[in-house]
Amino acid sequence: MSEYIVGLKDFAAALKAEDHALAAVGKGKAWLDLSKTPLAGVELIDRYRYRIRIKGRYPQFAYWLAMNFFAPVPIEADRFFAQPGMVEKNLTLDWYPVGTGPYMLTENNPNARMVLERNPNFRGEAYPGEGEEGDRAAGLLTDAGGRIPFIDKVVFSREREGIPYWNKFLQGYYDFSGISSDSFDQAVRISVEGEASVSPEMKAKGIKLESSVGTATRYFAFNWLDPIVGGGQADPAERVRARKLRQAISIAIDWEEFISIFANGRGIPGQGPIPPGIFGFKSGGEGINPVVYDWIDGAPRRKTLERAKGLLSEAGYPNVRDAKSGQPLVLYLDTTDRGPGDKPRLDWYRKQFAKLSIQLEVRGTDYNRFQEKVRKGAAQIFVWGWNADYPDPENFLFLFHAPQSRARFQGENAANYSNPEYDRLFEQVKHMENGPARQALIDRMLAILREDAPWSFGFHPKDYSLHHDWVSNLKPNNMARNGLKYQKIDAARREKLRAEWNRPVLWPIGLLVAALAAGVMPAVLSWRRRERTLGRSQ
Amino acid sequence: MSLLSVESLRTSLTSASGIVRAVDGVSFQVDAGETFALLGESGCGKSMTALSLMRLLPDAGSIVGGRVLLGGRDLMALSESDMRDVRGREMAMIFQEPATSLNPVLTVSQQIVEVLERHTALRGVAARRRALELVEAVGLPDPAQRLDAYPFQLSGGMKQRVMVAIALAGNPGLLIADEPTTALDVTIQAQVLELLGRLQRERGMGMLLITHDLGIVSQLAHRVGVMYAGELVEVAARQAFFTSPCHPYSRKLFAALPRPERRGGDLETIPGSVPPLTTAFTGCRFADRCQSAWARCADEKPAWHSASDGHVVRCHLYDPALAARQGGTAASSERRNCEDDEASPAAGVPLLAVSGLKLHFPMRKGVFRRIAGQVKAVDGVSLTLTSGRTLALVGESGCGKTTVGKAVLQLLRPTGGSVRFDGEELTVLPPDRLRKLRADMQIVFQDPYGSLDPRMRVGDIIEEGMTALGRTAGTMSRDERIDALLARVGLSAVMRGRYPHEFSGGQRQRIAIARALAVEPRLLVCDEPTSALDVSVQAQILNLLKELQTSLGLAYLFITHNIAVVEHLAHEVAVMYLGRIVEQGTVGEILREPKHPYTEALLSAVPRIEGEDGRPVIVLKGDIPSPANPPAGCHFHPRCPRAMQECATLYPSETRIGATRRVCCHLFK
Amino acid sequence: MIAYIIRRLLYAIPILVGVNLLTFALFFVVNTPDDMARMQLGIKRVTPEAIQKWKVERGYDKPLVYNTGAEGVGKITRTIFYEKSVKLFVLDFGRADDGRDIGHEIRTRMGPSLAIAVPVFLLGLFVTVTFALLLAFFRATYLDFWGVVACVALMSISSLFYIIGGQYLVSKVWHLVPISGYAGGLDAARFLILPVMISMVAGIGSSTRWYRTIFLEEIGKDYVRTARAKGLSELAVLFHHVLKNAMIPILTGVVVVIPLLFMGSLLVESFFGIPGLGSYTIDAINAQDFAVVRSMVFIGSVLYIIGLLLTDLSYTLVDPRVRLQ
Repeated sequence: MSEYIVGLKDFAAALKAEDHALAAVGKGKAWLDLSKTPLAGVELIDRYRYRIRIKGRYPQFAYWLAMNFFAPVPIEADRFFAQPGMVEKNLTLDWYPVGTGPYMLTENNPNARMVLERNPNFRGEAYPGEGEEGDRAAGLLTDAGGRIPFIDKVVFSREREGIPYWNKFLQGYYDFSGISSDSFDQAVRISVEGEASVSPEMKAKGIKLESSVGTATRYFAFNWLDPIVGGGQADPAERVRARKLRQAISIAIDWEEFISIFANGRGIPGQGPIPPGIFGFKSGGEGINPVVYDWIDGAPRRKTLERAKGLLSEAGYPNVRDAKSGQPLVLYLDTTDRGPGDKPRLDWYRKQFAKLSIQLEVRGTDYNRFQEKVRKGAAQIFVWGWNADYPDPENFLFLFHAPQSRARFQGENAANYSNPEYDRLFEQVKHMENGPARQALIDRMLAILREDAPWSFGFHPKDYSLHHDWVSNLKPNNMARNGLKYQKIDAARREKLRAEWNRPVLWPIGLLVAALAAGVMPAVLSWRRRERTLGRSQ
Repeated sequence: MSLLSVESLRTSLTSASGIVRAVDGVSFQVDAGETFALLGESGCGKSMTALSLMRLLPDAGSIVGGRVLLGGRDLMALSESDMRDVRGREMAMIFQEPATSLNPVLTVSQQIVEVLERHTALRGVAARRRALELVEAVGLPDPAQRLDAYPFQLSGGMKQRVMVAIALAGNPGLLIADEPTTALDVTIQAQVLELLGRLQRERGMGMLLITHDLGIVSQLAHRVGVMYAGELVEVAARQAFFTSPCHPYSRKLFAALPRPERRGGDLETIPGSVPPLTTAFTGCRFADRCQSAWARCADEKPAWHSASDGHVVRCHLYDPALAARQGGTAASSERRNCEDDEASPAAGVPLLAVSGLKLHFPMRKGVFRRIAGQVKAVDGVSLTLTSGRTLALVGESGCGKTTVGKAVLQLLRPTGGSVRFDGEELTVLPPDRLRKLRADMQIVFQDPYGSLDPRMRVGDIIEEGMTALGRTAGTMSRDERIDALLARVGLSAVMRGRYPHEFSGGQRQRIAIARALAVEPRLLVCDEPTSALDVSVQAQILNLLKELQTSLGLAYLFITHNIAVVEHLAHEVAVMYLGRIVEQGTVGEILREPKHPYTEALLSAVPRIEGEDGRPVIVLKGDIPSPANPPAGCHFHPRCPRAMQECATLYPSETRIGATRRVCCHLFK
Repeated sequence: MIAYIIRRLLYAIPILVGVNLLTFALFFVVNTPDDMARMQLGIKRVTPEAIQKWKVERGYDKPLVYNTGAEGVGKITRTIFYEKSVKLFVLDFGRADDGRDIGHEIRTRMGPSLAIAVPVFLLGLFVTVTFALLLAFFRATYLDFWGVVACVALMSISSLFYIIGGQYLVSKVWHLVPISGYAGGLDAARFLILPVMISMVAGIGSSTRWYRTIFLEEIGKDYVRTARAKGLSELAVLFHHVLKNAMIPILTGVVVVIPLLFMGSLLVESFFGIPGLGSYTIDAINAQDFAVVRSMVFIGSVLYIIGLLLTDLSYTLVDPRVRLQ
């Protein structure tokens, strides 16, 4: 942030100097009153407001302000926790947060449960009266103007295993549940059109499904530094050759199949890095990746394997052997998947490459070694993903920015992609306001990416979540995590249904007692017989 | 009417090899105030008879027929819960092994009070007072303190006294004593026998005494029943039995006992072994081993015949119809008068010369395990032994005699003193040189069951030593040599491929001897080689050892507590007490006129067969002290009936009497 | 006796140093301090400066076991091994890499672990000993036979099956107790009944069989025959004589685990949502949190040593023959 906020660098330096000075006189752990040190870019307006001055244009700054580490902290709290002995007693601000929100964290034990309770000192906030299209019809605006939060106490319980979690949700002891692949078929029906809805069994209980496409993407990355699949070769012909290989592989990897096998259909295939819901994403025919897809009958259709094989031949691998050396083409996938549970997925990867008769060697390593390989640019192909920090295309497009190269600059460009034209466009696009001009530039950047294919764009996962019908005012949002304060619970209904669903069945206890008695009987009989035995056996 | 009347009792055990008829039609009576002894060798069914009476058979056993009338009531017709009222109250039992027969985690008083609470109205303090009376009655020293002792804090003799006290607690009319002194030392055995006899007389109890020891029978019993292979073969009053045993088996038992007059000669042995009780017998069970047997014995089961008044025997020889046949053969016992070689002292250089041998074990204490004291297991022992001679090392358990044996062989390295073997000092010999000498010195252990590797074949056991010590067989192949060795010890060559568990105790001890002989030793240390064996088998082993000595010129260091064996086999005797030799001399000197009071007591304590010798039994007080804390002065003085003031302060030095005899006692200075 | 305890505790020191070294070696063969820093800092936007800062803050910037740059004893003391492991001997576990005090974490998690482990241990011991005594009482009858068959069946089934099956039947179908969860105080009872029962059932088979063997061996001994010859009933013989002697071998296996009850059970605690220590070590290994791993391994070793010592001491209670010195 110090690159953006005016004076933050000096502020940090001043604080460091002060700290050193204190340390020199043996007070290294003493509390620094931050308000004593001037911070040029920040200016106090009144008791509740301050103004921040940043360098240049940086529209994304608003998003940063919404992140948790930008919460205002009262100086009293900072001073309180800085007292000697506090840390030793585990009393720290991050464990006992002080803030201004609607809830207070009254119990904080992440290993068992965390409890939020209504903040009696909350300044008060009204439920919004307007929303997106369809919100009113969905009944999301009926509480407009009501004082939030509606719920007094929120309990988060740690449930380590999926089975008890799912069963307790079904019993009504949890209001929300995700859907594990174990319980997916039980919970969700996918219609012929691909529309998901809850199963009749769930519907009977009044369980509802919410789904949203996540602001995330998963992909196969081709290491740009690799001589075979990369794009950094000096020889232009070599570069073309590698590009065609990447394009062919991109066509061959059938992500639609992956989604249906390994994600229960929860995801949409990626046409580029930007997921739906983020500016720059285009739906329909104009949004497809023309290198991999054709737009046929109002739907994207993956190009045929013949096309992919054609590209492979053009790349100089007729019959999947290097035309010059005659060596068969072997590619290497690095992964941390090693367990027996991962085998189906690895087999699927191999199968995709085998469609082009390319042999894929899977190199499984532990997490540390895998990270190290990627960091050093030593991996050839690997599976990777990205979760958005904030809902701006810049947060996806920067993943291809050459100065972000992982191998060279320890940045987030894990594929180490590098294209001067792209970088030039990125510099333009990153701080632009959303609008047609930005869209046009983004379209050009996406076209470059699709042609260069540094990634095989995988899919954007779809989040499904279930909740009981006593929960209302629920609208999924993958970016904002503050929906809790709007939600509402019909506690009476919940109580009633819980009791109805969980009537104890008592006969097994009787059965158990009877079984024990039945077990004791032969013992008693045997004992009596023994007591009456005579000396002589007959 | 008899107190106890057993009528054709039959007990069988189920085992892997079939139904074992352990007790097969046994009938006898015991009157109140009478001691009836059941005599027999191991496996003859005498213990099973006792357990059948108590209805305490192992899980595999059951009583299949007969009646047991106790005071006129048939015990076999009682229910299990009624039978419990009989046990401990009307009849009580004491067992062979006092060390294991007491519950190790309960105190003496708990174990006695338990019986009182079960069978009498006594509770609490009254029960404890009664328990104290009982332990006093059985002569437990320091009864008040010992009442709260745990069994491990008591010596073997004291434990057996406690067992007796437990048995007496219910005031039973009948006491069953199953080999009550077999596990005890001779001097302690004398104490316990004296106690049992006294209690039986005082209380007028009936007693069923089960034993294999003719001496004990002679000392304690009024009537005797001899058992063989599950049935009684002879019942007689003691006097009649000892003056004229009738059954050929009984006679053989007498003949197999080592006695001074049989010195030099072979002992009588019984050929063959007891037939397995899984057999269905048609004739006399002893027929196969009986020298007097004829055709009828194999075909027809003999009936009871009366030999004299109250003396019945189950043998065809005594069939009145065949009275003619009962000739002089029955009483024929070979007596060979052998030349008494004991007086001729060893000539030439001694093969083994031990002088001042010491073996101390450290006792450690405290945080850093400092050595806090020494257990002087062996404390200055001197011995000499020449080829072809036997030196018997005699003493009670814990006196250090086994330790001496091991120290001589350097199995335990001595703390001090010297051991010279054939002129070579062993104590300073390095291990590799010592290994070469091992072939010259071998050992035969006490327990023929534990000392042979159960997973090795007999041939391999014998060959192992030969291979290890590099003994080549000369002209014979190794297999031939093994066969020859087996033949030498009276086993057949076909047994080479079998495993030890297929052999009886006597046969195993023969194998152990063959193993020792395989490397052609010159010295054999025999550590109680016959104490786990029956009398008739013991006789076989003793004969074998004697014969081997004569033909091979072996020297034996014979460690034993059995005086009878010493008499038979030894040339010289050394008597040990608490790690030191108290008296040493030729066998004639020591056994005929013991000088040291301990030797005297030891010899007199051995139960003698009636009429053999009229010496009164000297019953020693107390137990053998611990070698960790020996009494000051003469170690024996606290128990010595002839102790003087001097004895309490000064350990007596050695006094030489004559050419061969040495004694450590102030009386003989 | 005191001398014995002191000596045993002194023996423990080299063992613990060895255990520490071994843990240290195994951990740092797999993970480097850089890996640990990256794991803690997350995947995104990790700069080398941030990693260095993380390492300095937690003392992982020093050499592992030998500091060539330092002077004198500093060569040994100014290393990760010395700084991270020596304090353990005064039970100062320090902070986890996420900043939490490990001692505090262990103390709070210990309670729930014990709440489940202690009842399982005590009830289980009671039930198995009783059951085994009954089997011994009915030895060589069909009751014994079927009892042993039941034991073998019980021990052959995976404990996971008991957990899932038990939760399904008792909680999901019959609604008798909550499926999972935990509460403090007496409220805990309804959460604990099921896991306690299930853990007991899962453990009953093998212990019963083992105890039965011990009892049968004792029953074959001479003193039992003596007790029967006194006219005591079979039950009195079993409880008063056999049980007391059989406690000696039983204690060998039982007392040693008492201290380890603190460590909890991974499977049961995970499935029943009990916030105990069971998963603390595994989680720490996954999170590459060396501070926690070495603390837990150290505590495990200490508890095991204490368990062995307690075993020896418990002998003196049940066996008058044993005197420790």
